[in-house]
Amino acid sequence: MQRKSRGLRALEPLVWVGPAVVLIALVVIWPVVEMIRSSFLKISRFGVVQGSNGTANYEKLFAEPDFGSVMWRSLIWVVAVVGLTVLISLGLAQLFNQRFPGRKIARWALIAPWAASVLMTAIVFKWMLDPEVGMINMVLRDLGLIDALGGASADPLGDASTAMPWLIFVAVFVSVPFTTYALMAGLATIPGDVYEAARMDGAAKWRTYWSITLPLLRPALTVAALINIMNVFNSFPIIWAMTHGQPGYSTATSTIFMYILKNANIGESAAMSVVNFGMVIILTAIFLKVSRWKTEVA
Amino acid sequence: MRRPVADVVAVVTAFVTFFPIYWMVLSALKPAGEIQSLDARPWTLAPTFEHFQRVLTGENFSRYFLNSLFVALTVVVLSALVAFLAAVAVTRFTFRFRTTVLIMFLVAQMVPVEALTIPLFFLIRDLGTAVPGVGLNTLGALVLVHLAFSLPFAIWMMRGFVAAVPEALEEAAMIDGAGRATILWRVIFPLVAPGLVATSVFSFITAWNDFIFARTFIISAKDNQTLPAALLVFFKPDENDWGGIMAASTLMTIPVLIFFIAVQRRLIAGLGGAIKD
Repeated sequence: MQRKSRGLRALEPLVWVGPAVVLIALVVIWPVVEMIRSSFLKISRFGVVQGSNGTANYEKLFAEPDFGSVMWRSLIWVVAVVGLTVLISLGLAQLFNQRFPGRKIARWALIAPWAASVLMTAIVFKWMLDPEVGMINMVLRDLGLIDALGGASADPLGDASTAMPWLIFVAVFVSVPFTTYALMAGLATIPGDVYEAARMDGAAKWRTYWSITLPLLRPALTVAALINIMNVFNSFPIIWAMTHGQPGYSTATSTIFMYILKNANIGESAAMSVVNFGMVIILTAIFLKVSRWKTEVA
Repeated sequence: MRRPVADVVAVVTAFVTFFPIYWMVLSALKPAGEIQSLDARPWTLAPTFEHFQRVLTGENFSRYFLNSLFVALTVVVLSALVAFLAAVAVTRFTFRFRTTVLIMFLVAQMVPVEALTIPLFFLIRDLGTAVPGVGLNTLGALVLVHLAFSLPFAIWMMRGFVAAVPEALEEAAMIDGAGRATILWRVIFPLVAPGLVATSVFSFITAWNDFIFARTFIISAKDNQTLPAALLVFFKPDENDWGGIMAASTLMTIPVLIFFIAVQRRLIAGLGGAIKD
């Protein structure tokens, strides 16, 4: 009884972390391994494995005429959506952190797109953008803007040049609430006396924000941006529900392309998934490197 | 500090963010003829509950609702428990495969779910023959898969909270003769509770709003369908029943929205712990 352990440190940590590891290994990692494996297999349209295919799936994928533009679009999609989301959220977090009469209501309203299903939000937007009965299109027409956008019959989602901005808008729309809340949480951790000191020194508001708030907000910003990068790159329901990647492949990102390929060639689709997965890992690594590099500079 | 600009931006933001939900509820209340009208108006003079009635009496809606609730709540409880234990392990201990485990958690967060439906389908099918209750067409399968996919993020968030608990507190409890279980559940657990609230919100929302897993695993068992099934019946190849779709989505969204608003304050506190470092 007197055999004193060194408290929690002497416990068997593997038993505690075990359930999580087993669950993730079985349900997440194993399917990933299967996905990688099937990217090297020849699989019939009905899912029958017909033996090894070497790197043929990858060669076929890279030879797809649309592959280059799809990858390029995925990159633009991530940079645009995450960039805009972070910028807008920085502003909103700063604003909603102040006290003003409508703050409570504004914060409640901001939570709405987060609570709603992303798929349903996308469907509602698609419907509002309908060329005939869509409410957004009608307002644009009434404002006389529609002529500038291609005449009375303009279909915002049917034209590649307007579809992509709308898709980015919806993606930003559903990403802003979480990001703003994460940044508000970050702002809440900054002690008030730091600002007190800045005011004593006579620092201007903008200068205070740039050299005090932003650096102190960095951990929150890093986490929020990182989660957004992963989510947005893998985002599927918005584009699928609104355009299916059409017209042509002009709004297809790598996730959408992967899904389209699945109907024709499971092996090639798996190869696309692997490339997709690799891209997320590389983007995350680059991002982590860059954000750490900033610490050393600061 | 307050300027009229703040009020204006706040009002505009609130308007924009709330508008799709407003439009959804409005469309659910509009009479059938008005929904697809060429002259859509942002109000209705003849609100009707006919769409709600159709949803509630039609496709066994209450059953689907309860199934969704069961899956989401089970996932929340199990995820909080498993993530808490794992977070304590990776923050309070150094063990041999610690780095490997942490990298695995991070990588698991980056997996595109849509790419895994085929292997997951086979996994669940095979698992069902070995373990009853988690095979195809069971709610257990949904719980298992959502639980596993919710863990990486949950553990990541919980780490910050566990790290914030002073180790001196554990030592003090130990000197008082507290056992491991007591320290874990009576000392650490209450202190990380705010983090668990935020984590729970995340696991709840993904499980509740899920379409893809529900459609992958629940193929033929009518009684084990979740809410997406109740919604998808209104999507028809010839013409979608928008009134039904919007009424079903309203019934699906409003409870979550109320829950979110209720925990809004804790959410900020909860996220704060996760990003502290």
